[in-house]
Amino acid sequence: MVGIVLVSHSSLLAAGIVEMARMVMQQAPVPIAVAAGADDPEHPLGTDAAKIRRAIEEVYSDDGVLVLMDLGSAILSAEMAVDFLPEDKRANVRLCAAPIVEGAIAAVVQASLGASLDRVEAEALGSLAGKSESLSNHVYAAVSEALAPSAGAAVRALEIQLTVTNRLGLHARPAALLVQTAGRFRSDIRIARAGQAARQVNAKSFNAVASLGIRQHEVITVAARGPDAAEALAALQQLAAEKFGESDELPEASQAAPPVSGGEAPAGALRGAAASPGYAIGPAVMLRQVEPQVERRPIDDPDAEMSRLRAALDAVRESTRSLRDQVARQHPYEAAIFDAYLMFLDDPEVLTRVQRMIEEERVNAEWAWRKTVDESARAFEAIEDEYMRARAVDIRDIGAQVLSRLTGQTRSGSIDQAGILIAPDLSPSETAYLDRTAVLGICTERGSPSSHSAILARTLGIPAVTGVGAAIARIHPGTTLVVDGYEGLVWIAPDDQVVADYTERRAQWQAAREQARQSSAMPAITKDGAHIEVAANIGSLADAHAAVEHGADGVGLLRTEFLFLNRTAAPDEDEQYETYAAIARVMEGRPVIVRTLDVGGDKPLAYIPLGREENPFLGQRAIRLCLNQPDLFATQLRAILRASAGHRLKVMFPMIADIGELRRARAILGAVADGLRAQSVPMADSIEVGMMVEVPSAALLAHVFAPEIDFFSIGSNDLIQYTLAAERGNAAVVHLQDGLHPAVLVQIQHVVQSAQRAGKWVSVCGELAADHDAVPVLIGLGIQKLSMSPGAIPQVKELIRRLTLAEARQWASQALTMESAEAVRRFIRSRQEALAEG
Amino acid sequence: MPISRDDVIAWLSVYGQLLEDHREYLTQLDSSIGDADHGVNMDRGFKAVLGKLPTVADKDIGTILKSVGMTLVQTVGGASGPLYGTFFLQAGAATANKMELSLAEWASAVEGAINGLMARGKANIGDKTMVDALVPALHALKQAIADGIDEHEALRQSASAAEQGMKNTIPLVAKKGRASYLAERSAGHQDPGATSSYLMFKAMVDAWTK
Repeated sequence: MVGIVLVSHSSLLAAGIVEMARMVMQQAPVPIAVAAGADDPEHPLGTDAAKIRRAIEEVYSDDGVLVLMDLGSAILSAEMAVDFLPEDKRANVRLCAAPIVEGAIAAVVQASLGASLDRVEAEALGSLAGKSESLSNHVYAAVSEALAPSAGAAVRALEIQLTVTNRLGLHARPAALLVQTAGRFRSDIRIARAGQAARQVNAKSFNAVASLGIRQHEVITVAARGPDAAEALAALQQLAAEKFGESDELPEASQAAPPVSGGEAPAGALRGAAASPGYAIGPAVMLRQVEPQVERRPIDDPDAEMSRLRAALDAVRESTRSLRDQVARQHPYEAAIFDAYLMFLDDPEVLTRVQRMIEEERVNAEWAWRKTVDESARAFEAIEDEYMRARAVDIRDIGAQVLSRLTGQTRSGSIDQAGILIAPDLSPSETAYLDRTAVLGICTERGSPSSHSAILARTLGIPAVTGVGAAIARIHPGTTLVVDGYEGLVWIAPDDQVVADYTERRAQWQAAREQARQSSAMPAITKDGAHIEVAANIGSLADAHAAVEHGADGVGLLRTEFLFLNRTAAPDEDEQYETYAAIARVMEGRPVIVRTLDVGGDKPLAYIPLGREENPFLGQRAIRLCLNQPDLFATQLRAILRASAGHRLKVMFPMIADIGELRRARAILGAVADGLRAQSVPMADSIEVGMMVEVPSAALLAHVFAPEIDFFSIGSNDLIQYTLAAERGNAAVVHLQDGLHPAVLVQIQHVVQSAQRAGKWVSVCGELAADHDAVPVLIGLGIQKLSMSPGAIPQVKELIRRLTLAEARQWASQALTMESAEAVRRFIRSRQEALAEG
Repeated sequence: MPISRDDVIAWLSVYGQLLEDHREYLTQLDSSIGDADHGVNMDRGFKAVLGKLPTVADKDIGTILKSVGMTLVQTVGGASGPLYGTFFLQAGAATANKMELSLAEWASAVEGAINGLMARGKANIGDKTMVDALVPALHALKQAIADGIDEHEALRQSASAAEQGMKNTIPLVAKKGRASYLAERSAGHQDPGATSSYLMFKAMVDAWTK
């Protein structure tokens, strides 16, 4: 693999580039070495030829080394470093004229694909194309065109369309993954914005893909031509379904931001950005904001100032955490906004700057804090990216909260009456504190639809229009306003006709919202009357709230690992009991399946020594570990059984591979239950016990297990991984990780048939359960319960309501006879399309 | 006038002292058209060189000069690191295993050094760089030797040619390095690199003719 050397005057710059490069380098680690900075702490900027030579040697192989440098002496020193190398190595070292940041990212992506030195260098040299293109300077377009391989026009291309759902669009990381995936195939693969086929680019070129600047919700057309075109498209489709490796990113607020509407505002209205949909009518009310006054004061005791600051930071951290938890109860994802605040409060860089100012300039903590916050916020405001600029508001907000603690002055005011809130801008905490019953709508002078406060307004369901501009000053308190959060319009003192029109629209909007809320909570019943339970996979108390919010019929998988990871001692029985009981209470009588601890060499626990395993996925994990740690296991089982009192809890054992494991686990459970009963500890009279089917041996021998359990839950992620010997998270084998593979379906069929004969039921709790192609097949195979991440529930319920069990059975039996996952997927899609048309 | 190993060491020490004395001045020149670090960088580099000299003082001239070159490369940080580094490494290559040099041999070593530096920096006369001081100094030295002039006088002529070349950089527009970003605005300022190069020749006069 080609190695990369970064030469910079600044070690900070080089470290930053390495950090960015690691983001795009997914699986195959590219050797990167850095030669940056001088060893003089007084003057840390500089370059050093000897250091560069060492860096080159460090990553050198006969595949070659690409050296990227910043400017001036970096170039001279790099040239000199090459002269220092032994003759035979020099030819394999290339000094690259590409800009260092763009060039490094492009080079790392290509290198991780195993490209040749020539190719890596060409890609780096073309790396300005994306930026140049988006800044309307087409000088570099020719370069990226030159990089595109010629298309074999004779062969017809296969085409698919993919929707990009990633919040930031196809930015660096997802684009890199797309390029890497495309790069595995021999076919010529091109992508373009849907409807812009003329501007197709090479999907194997990071620069070219990034230059498209695909944003969230845009549709791309992928065309592949060549011997493995179909496989390539399937892999890319899978990748898109997994949000290009960002499936763990925060889901969007339940209602997406509508696009900013253009055009002139009608007479009598102001136009802004439609930040949160809905309609509101009411008088204008003002939010009074008083920023704390800060004066520069000379001080004698810097330590005293620092301890005042620390106390203020502690207090704000505490209140932010509590606010976070409060929001989390209803809006777990939006609560993450407050994590950004906490990060700023804990930022060592910020604290160091403030401390230095206090010590060196002998100024009061307020002054030093405000100056530092201002600088940080301005740095964000200077970034040419709306999302990053919105972060400046967050920083100013949290900064002001610390200031009001320091000064003892209270900051934000309240509103006097119900109405439409008018404000210059709203911070997330202000938005979160809004009295939902008093604030009918929001209208702000500044702010954008991607600001945190807009996201919060959407989750709170408050119609909002942001960025109305200075004209907002014309609005007097008490003036009647109409907020149109769909069109981004604010009507000032509208006439009766407009008011009547919007009163009608508001009524319809509220009715529709109520219906949507109710329908996600309604059961999912197929057109021919089969009831399929749709449950949630959760891993925290906050997730439980999200599950209810999204209409989950229960919890199909409670991952208990969250209680055990990242701590130095195991949680005691009481702590576990409280948590399981709290989750059960949130689920309000819905069934909750508690999976016992599933950790192992890949998720080590500090308090359980585990030997290093060559292959932790095939090692001592899950039930295997618990059976070797009987105290740990018994404690968890006691907590679960105690929490079962008054709740519908079920116990499930993970990763059972052999009947002996199941029997030992059940024996421990029985002993624990006997012990509790002997002490008259309350618990449910009977508790259902199930096992995960993740290991092919369990699937193949399901008929042996079925009589001894109450239910099976198929963990599709692991079952696929173990069946196809393709590790999850390894992008190089992602094409094998399709749960619609007949090898997986045949096992599921056997599990269901074995269960049915014994009168037991089967659920699927992996990602397959939320895969819209897979749902009809699973139902058709006889799965009665699907469990998935909460956000996926409403759509899967909708899908089930459009199906009939009879058809699903036919599709499933045909799928079982097919030869590949791809064939199954194609078949199911054609059926679903036919269904939609017919 | 043979130039002994000790003469070379004396020259380096004087040059180091001159750089220390002119540190602020060089930095001030650099702040007008560059990144205000030339004086600091050169002083730091030569402090390191002088610190290292005792460890090689018993070696031949070539080894001493190469050691100076490597030290500068690793400690100067800015562009003058690889440039002066190359100068001294090339000079060292030309004087390998020599314990004593004639002035003509010295001039020839300097010539090789300047050629190496020009190749490294890809700079020519008139680009407003050290080359503008170094090349006239070399020509004057060679001319004086060819004319059979007194060797002390030859060194003085060489240094004054360097000084003239340095002053000639004032009206020039920079073509290389950070100063070139200023384009026309770099005119009217004396080049700091040419200045430190002149000091190197002045150090020969100070060390060897007094």
